[in-house]
Amino acid sequence: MNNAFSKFHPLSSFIYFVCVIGFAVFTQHPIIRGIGLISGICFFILLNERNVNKELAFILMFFFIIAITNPLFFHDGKTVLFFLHGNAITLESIIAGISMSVMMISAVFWLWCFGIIFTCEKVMYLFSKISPKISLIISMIMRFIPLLKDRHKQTQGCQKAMGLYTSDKLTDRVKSAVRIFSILVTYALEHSLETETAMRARGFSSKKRTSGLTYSFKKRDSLLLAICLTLSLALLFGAVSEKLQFYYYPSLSINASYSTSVMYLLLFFILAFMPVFIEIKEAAMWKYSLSKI
Amino acid sequence: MTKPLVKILLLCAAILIFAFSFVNAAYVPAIIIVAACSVALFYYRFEHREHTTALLILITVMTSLSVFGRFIFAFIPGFKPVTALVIITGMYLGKEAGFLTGSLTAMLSNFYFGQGLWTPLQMLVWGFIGFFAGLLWIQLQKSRIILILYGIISGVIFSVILDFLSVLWIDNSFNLKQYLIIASSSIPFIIIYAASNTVFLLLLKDPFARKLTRIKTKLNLQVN
Repeated sequence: MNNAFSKFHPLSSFIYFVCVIGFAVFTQHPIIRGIGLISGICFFILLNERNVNKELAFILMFFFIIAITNPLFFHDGKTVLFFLHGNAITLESIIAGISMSVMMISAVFWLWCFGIIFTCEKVMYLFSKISPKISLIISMIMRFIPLLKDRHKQTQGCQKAMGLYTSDKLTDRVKSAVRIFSILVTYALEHSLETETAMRARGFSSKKRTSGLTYSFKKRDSLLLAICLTLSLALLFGAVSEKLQFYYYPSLSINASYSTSVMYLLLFFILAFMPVFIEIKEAAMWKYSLSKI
Repeated sequence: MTKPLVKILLLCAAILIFAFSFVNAAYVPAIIIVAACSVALFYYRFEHREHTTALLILITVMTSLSVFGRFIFAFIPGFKPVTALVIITGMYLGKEAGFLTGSLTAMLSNFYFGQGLWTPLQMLVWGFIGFFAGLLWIQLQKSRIILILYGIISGVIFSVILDFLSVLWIDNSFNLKQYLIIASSSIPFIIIYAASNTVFLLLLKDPFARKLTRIKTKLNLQVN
């Protein structure tokens, strides 16, 4: 993990992500959706953690279908481009479909970034204070699943070696899979017995739990939090007073004057591109301090 | 803060957001936020009650098994033991364990299968499937027919609710024609869900009953 944004305190980066994803997904305005998409892609490229070529092709295809099918279902809108089997295909519904799919792709990119920044430990750190029991359960499950995976592999190999695992017909495969699953269940429940004894022996629930990781809330964390909350409140005000409303039908129109909507778009631009700025600034600082040596 | 106060605050926030969003016709955020709030309320209740370590461990094991079940049977799309396991957990470990197993399975398996904004709703629906199984545990344990009916109904409801959300999402209005198109495209999946619930409930109910009863006596755990 070699990026600047993941070094922020989990609380402020979590709130940041909630704000950005919320606005990028729940506003109707096509330009806000576009800004959300571009900033999400920039951030994702800067993070440079996951190779997603395969998934990307599938997602692009899926969203292309949404953009195409929207004008086939909705025939509202003023500007008729042409008729298809007696149904009007309008410019407005095409734009609405494209904007819809832009929103969905931006949500995917932002959630990928969220997944890279928010590792399991950070989630645990954040939520172990609010709900110790459930975060304990989640962390135990996260350990248990790989354990089950290993055990499943062993059991399957064993059954194959004994000639009990058949894969000729689908029903046989299901039967074998169910048998192995049943073996796994017995193992898991026995394992739970041991865990329970061990936990009780070590005094679980006798005192408050402590977290292994510690993050300190620094000045820059509060700065990020303050900027993020101020911008979000301003944008929320815009959304509540319907200044951010965008109408696709009957013709493309906005509720606010030109200058007001430019101001709100600028606010969202700053909010969405904040991590990109931070990454670039940190990289530049690194370069600069290198050249001095 | 005291316990009832937090509950009332959460509930008020949920209702306010819901009402506000309905005035502004933002149905999808309203549904998602309300679903998230109700899951949070359940978790809050669970957090503030006394539980034995045994119940926590059994919830962990059942959730890991149902998340893992999504992998084992990945060779047939839609054919998953998840709902069956959630129902069995509700039946034998009580309604609270059923809700937690269902909702946590939805959340955690979506880390592998794709997290999205539908996650809170999925958590709520799966949680309620487990919860009601815990409420109806006497009938479900006694009669196989009721058990199978419950499995089929929960499979259908799960699919219908999520289709409803995706239709609302596409154009923020409920268009019956579009709903029917999406619903008809998911009919094969509904059939697979219902069939897999039935098959897995029939296959897994008795072995699980044996194993869970045994482990419950061993851990000295009283539920229901």
